[in-house]
Amino acid sequence: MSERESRLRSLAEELLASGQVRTFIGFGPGYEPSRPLPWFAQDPAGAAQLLLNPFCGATLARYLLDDGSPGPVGVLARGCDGLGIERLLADRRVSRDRVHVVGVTCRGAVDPDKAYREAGDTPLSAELEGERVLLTTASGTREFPRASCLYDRCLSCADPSPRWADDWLDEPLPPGKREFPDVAGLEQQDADRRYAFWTRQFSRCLRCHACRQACPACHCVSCSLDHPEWLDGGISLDNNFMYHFTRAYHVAGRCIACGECQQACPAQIPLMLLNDKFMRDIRDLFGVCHPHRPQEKEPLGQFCPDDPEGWREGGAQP
Amino acid sequence: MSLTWEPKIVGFACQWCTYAGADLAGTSRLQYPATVRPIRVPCSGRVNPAFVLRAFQRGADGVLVAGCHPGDCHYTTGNLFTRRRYSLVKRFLEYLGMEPERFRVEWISAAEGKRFAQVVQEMTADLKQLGPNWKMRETT
Repeated sequence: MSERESRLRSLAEELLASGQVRTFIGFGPGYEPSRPLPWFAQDPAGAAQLLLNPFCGATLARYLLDDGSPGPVGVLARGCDGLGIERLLADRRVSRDRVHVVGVTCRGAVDPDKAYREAGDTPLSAELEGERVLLTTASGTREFPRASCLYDRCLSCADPSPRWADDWLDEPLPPGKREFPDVAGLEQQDADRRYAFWTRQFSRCLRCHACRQACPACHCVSCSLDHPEWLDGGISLDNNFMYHFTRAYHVAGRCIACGECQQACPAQIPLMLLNDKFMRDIRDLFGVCHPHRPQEKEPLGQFCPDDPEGWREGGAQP
Repeated sequence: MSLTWEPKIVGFACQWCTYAGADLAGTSRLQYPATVRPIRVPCSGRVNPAFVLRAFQRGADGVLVAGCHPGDCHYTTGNLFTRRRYSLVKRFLEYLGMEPERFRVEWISAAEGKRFAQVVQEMTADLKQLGPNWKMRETT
């Protein structure tokens, strides 16, 4: 058990025992060591089972909405969870006095599927050391490069720590800058090839709506995607285009880049390529430096008198 | 029935400026192709991006969103939100593979009947070059 994990357990125990929180949301045992699941600890015994290791993947913010308990809720927050909590606070889905944030610095989460492919066996534990990942399987411990084991979203992460927290498990790291190399790569192709690319992606879509359910920014109580007047049922390419366009546009300017949508997708559709495109354009057109970090006003909920006309070549003024 | 294909353009026109501009084009007897199907909306800010996609889905070959010039909005700021929104949507549609010529945003005032006719002419010529749209369109 790592030092951070024991600190997390004792802190959660303390918060629950003192009644400061009714529930503590973190990670607990899943069906195998490499797949911890979100864990709702409601008493000190539950807190004793909390886990904190590089396999802790899912973003926890969205679970604040599923929790129906009346009291304040404690939640473990890495950078992505922290931004998700800020998103829910900004959207007024959660009130500040109902959430107690325990901040932790994250250096990336190990994708169990990638780890399995790399190690050729079920990984039992993982350790991050600089640019390397140490994976332990039944046959021993081996070293792998970071890029081949971590979740895609963690490789482009610019927010290792939440921007604020009520308690910290360790020292926060300063935020970095997100870049969008994959978006630029796709933009260089011609229109027909881009259409062929997205046709390949969207024709796999099962329309299970997992991307919507997992998203901390996509949480309207009534969703247009459930209404037949907006999206008639049936999985067809045109409806899938409609679905993904609408989903991506609805989180444009509000996406926190946690990558949970892409992670949740059973068809491996690269959804972050859609979200990143909006983020990159919002940054370039409207001068919002970090569009994925919730700000006082959404980029699309405001305007400047001298905004560019982005539909013209290069987005310059006429 | 004519056997030559003519493009279909769905034109969302703000009722204060562009719709009046289109009226002016008509009353001034300006000639422009009968390819545009104007849909009157209270403001260009009323045009949900899903309308644009739905138009393409249901067989439009081109979509035009047109409203008052920035600063002239009847509701003061509606078209300034439109400007931000469609700056993103236009680029996003192209990113998904739509040809740039198929979607246009224009500011056309009530006095600019000529401009309305010109935009429809330009768009029709562009779309005739491209041919019918099959992208993002429903299959029957």
